[in-house]
Amino acid sequence: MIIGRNFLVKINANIGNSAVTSTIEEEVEKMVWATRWGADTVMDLSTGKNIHETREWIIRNSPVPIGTVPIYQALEKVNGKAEELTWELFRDTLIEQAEQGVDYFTIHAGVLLRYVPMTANRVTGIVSRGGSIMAKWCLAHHKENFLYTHFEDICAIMKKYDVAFSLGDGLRPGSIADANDAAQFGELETLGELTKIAWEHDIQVMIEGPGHVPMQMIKENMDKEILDCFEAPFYTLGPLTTDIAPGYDHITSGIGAAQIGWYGCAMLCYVTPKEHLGLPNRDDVKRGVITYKIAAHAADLAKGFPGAQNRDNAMSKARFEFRWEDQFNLALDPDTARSYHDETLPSDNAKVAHFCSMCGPHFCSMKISQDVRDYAKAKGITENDALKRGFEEKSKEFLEKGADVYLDPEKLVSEGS
Amino acid sequence: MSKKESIPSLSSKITRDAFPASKKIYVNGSIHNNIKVAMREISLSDSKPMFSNGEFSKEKNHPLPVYDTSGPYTDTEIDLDVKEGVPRIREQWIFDRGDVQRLSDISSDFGKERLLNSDLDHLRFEHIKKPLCAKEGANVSQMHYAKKGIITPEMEYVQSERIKNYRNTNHLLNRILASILGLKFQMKLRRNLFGMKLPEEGQ
Repeated sequence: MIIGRNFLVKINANIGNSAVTSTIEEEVEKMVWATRWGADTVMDLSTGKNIHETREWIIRNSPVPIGTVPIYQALEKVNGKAEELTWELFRDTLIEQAEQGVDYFTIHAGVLLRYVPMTANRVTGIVSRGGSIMAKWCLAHHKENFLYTHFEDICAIMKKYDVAFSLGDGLRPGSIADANDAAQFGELETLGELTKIAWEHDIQVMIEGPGHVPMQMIKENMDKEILDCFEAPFYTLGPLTTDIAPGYDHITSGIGAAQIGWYGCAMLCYVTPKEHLGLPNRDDVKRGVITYKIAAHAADLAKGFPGAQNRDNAMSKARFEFRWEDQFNLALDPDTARSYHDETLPSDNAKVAHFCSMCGPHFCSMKISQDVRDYAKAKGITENDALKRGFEEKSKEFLEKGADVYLDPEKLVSEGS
Repeated sequence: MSKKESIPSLSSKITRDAFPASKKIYVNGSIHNNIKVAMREISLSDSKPMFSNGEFSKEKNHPLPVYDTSGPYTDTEIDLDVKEGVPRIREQWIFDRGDVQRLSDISSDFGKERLLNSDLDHLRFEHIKKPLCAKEGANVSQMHYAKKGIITPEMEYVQSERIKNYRNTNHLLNRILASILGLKFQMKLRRNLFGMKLPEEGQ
């Protein structure tokens, strides 16, 4: 699996239990379930007291790279008191996780002391958990972020254990009102500075991006990232293109994700329908992953990625030829495609029928197009002539069948229509 | 509020169903003969007979290879045990490089503390190997190898996603050389020192 603008757009799924819900057993299945539907990487964002053991199970059973946010666990070790965090404790956490086999670390090293006041007038302040932890630490000690001051020390660990950086956007906007502000873009410039340092150590870097951004402000994010971070792969959370649809934020963010993917974002972090509301369950994970597969694939198509359209073409051909089984099998989510079809036309007959229940047999545009072609071939005339003549005949047939607009599909199938 | 912790067991729900009308295919590497790039292949039915140019013809629709991240879970021919983990397919690639050592013990204080805490025994994954780490002075990142012009098995593996005709090995080889070496290598490659897993690639 490779992440970069010149490759397929990748997606990440976040999983992880909390102190109050979900077990290691459930999280392992969530990880397997997420990769089944297309997660290219999985981030284990578990909190609570058994993070170490949970991660062991997830890493050992994962077919894809695992990312973490080590500051979450470091914070557990100081009982949630951000001001008690130290470099030594954080360093031990990095080594602990690197030796378990974590593939990439989100490190919020760009949350600098001078940026923190810039968030004061925001509608939603600092919404990144890692960002708020580091901001709190900076203010409590009135010192520069220790992840920034110890960045070279972190690099030394990364290259020894082959762990990649995902430079965290701790100051990402948490609302449409806060998008593209000085705090967000100031941090992005610092992430660019850190990227150069990491590259001097030959350590791979991704840059994390927003967040909540309206559509007309998305492109600026991608352009600025390419410029300020020297084309390091961008890895964004959505972005969510509106704030008004809790319960549907996989969609509000899928819109932004497709757009930024097209502009060159390399990996899209999924958002589930539970965003802002609760811990996603297995169903939410699937919904989020499928939504993001759609966004990533739409971006691959728009970018003209070689071969990306093969599956679309196969699907369209199957659709035009009414090969229902093939349409289900080619679908990103075959189970849902089949069950939606069967909800209205459950019989096996309907799976060879040249229509679905959306329009019915006589109003199916694809069926009509095929009829026109067949008719033209059989009569040796052009498709336009066929259309004209066909309309006259259909009109006659319509009247002969009693001029009913609604016909019984099952009956038509049995008549061999 | 607290919860009751539980770990996976043989009776745990771990989804292992294959995708409908699909099978796993594995394409051998051409630079590295010990890589098998996994993909999912969807089989398709024939087109219906069409009357054209005075005769009936029935078009065959070839199976479609697609990108697949599901790993061994959707290959029903592979036995998996959640207590053992997935096969460590990168382990050999890593040891073949000769720049990695297996440590005699874990290094972090917290890791040791957890290991010695017998209250956690019921939660542990049993088959943990000792950690791997670069030998003194070595840099084991994929970016480091790429800058030195080394095409690792990991690089050949991921290159498959850019190959339309993946069965043509010469084509594959040329594309890898042109693309991996020519690209500014500003991307993250799959690396897991425990060498367990790679996502399936293809298109």
